[in-house]
Amino acid sequence: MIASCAVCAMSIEAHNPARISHFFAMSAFALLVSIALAGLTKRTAEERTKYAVSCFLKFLAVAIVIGWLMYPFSH
Amino acid sequence: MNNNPIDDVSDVTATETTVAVAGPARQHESAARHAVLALCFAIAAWIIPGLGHLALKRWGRALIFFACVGGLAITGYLLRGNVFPSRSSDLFDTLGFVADASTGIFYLVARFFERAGPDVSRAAGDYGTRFIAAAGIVNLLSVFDAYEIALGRRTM
Repeated sequence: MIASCAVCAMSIEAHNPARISHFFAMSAFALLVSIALAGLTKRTAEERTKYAVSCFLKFLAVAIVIGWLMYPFSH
Repeated sequence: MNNNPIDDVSDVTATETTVAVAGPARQHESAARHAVLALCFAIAAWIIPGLGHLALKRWGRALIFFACVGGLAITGYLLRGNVFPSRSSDLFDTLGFVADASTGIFYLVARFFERAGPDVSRAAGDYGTRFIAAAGIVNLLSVFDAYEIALGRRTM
């Protein structure tokens, strides 16, 4: 929801898609999915927080690594 | 009044036999009722993300699932992702519809957020499509979780 509000704030016109960077979109996706997976698999708030942070950072790390691996193919 | 001890014994045996026969039948009936109830929780979880968990008094999970599914779906709509219609021409579109429809009530409000329709000619629209599909998949996981909790297979 927080991500959605942030996107709403950045949306300029109704007919234009929300203007967000690729990195922000990826981060929002990673954050929301990490929280959902943590809520699904862990029991206590502490466990959930640790898992969500770990999962979020792994999402970002893997995305950045894969992005750089694909970089030569885009040129 | 029955004074014959042999008759008493036969009465007891008859009662035990009745209990032994009724026991599994009652258990079966109880299990069936439990399964139907679990299905109701699962349907509730599908229609409104988190409602199944809310009914099962799992407040934390209910809030997490509603926020995450809602956040992913609405972000996807604002990015003008593709919302697949129910009548589609190929298997991938059908799968897309299943994923989108899994968001429950958020699928119904897609038109409110996406008044101009999808625009997948830009990267943002393509991202939006993935956001909406991911919202559906996360809600499907929550539906199965609510079902398992209602059946007592998951203690957490």
